Amino acid sequence: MSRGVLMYAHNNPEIDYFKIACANALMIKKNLQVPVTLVTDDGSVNWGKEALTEELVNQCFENIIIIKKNYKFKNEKNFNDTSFNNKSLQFYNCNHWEAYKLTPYDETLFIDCDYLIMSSALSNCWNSRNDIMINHKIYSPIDQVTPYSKNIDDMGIKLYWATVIYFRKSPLAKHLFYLVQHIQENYRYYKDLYYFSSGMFRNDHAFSIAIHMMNGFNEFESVVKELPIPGLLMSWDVNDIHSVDYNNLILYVEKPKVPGTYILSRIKNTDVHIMNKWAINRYADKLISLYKD
Amino acid sequence: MSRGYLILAQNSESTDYIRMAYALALSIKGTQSEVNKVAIATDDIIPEKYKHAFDHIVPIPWMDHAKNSEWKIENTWKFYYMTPFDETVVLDADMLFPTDISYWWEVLAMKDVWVTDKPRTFRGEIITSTKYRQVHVANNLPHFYIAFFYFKKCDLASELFKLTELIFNNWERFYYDYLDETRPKFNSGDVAYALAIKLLGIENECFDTNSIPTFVHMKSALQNIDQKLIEEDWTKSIPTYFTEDCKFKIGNYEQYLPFHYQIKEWLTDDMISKLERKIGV
Repeated sequence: MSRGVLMYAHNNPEIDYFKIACANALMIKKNLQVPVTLVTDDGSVNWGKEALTEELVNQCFENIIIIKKNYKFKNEKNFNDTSFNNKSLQFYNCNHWEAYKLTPYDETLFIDCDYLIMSSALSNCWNSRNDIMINHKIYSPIDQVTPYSKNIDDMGIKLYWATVIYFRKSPLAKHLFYLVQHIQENYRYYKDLYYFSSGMFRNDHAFSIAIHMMNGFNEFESVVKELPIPGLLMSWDVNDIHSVDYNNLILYVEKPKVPGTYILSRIKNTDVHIMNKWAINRYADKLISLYKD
Repeated sequence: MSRGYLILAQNSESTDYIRMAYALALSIKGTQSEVNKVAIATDDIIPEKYKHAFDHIVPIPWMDHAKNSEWKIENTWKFYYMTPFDETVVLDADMLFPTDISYWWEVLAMKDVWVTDKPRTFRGEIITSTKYRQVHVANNLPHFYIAFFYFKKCDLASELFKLTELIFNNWERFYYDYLDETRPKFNSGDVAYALAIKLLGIENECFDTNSIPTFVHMKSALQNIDQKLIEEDWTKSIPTYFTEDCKFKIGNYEQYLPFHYQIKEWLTDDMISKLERKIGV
């Protein structure tokens, strides 16, 4: 049984996802000791090789799969860099449903490149009896420390986070990813049906709808199971990074209800989803130097 | 042992409960593979076109204690004396059955009386709101929901119904003696039965930790949704999709459990036509 991590990285004019993916790939190798495959596009990989050297890129990834971007796909997203700065940029995320086809592994951990792997916790996924594992529980560093679930909308369905998905090549996983493809291709319809306030395509929403459909449009028993972690630790995009060290990261966490004021929070030996991409970009070089051989 | 569902339905000035009981009976006939006998207890005239849906039409015993009432709960202590079945599930009229729950009966038969205490939201979550349960909480009463409960003809049930009769006929006295200042200013079936169970000390015999029996209770305040976001009439906030074969979704949630819609206008003539077609009427 082959095992590995799959990540996507498509740069936009300001966020260097490729570099973030490189940093995280090195973290994955240290903590999970599995190969990493990157799905990217020509522009991103060429820029990455130029900026980081081909040798480093090859050290990060066993496979690089270059796909053709669909330039008709427009998906504006508001990228926050703390509460003080934000910018609307393109967010290319319409191809995650292809992960099932593209992965070279029998067992895949499909991870967003900004979900920094600072522990071996996800190693517990391997050889799972579950075909798919995905979390609906999240928590955050200082205010909501007990894992909790959210709904897509106040009257809507349960929100699953496509940040980390474990799947095994299986009919169930294949079905899930094909359903996500269908939802992505008919997103305007599903957006209205499931009352999304924003028109931006989110894989979290597409996977949530697909799981809801596979569950028989209810939640008595889910066909997908939770990952073997209490929940996904989320650092929202209003937070910033103070400093990084080996499996050790200190965040400026914005105080709840007091925007612009922060508490320092140390994250140690715990995986964390850094939503502030600018912040990771600022520390990507440091992360690479910490984790490369 | 005969098994069946009992619906007490008495029309009021504003509400046609017989019509709702008819729709419920149609849904039971259309979905239940094993237990699908339905008895209606009423003193009202049942339209000829509705009669086929009921296996038993039972007059209300003794006199109609709800004659001048709008809420029509005054006869609800008489279930034990109305039912033609050995084992009965009592239902509120404003309910529909979307799926087959016949298998519940073998579980229910393990107790003499089995009461729903954990109804669910349309999303299937256990209702956590105690908005309408202040009396129960303050007085440590069991959360008795009259809309779906099971009993068999037996000593325990007989005793429960006798005490409930006593409470119904002297409710002001009982509420004054046994409930604190949160006591309701009107009689309530859920409170009276809960008090009877508590006074008899049979809570453990009438409730269990099982996930059944249960039903979806559509009172808007019970949906685990911020009250600012949902109207008191839930049908104005959450859409319904009712298919030709009488499956239905509330919002994006397919309904599988007995469904207590509570807003009488939710049940349309179109739904009744579909329910009729499903059983070949």
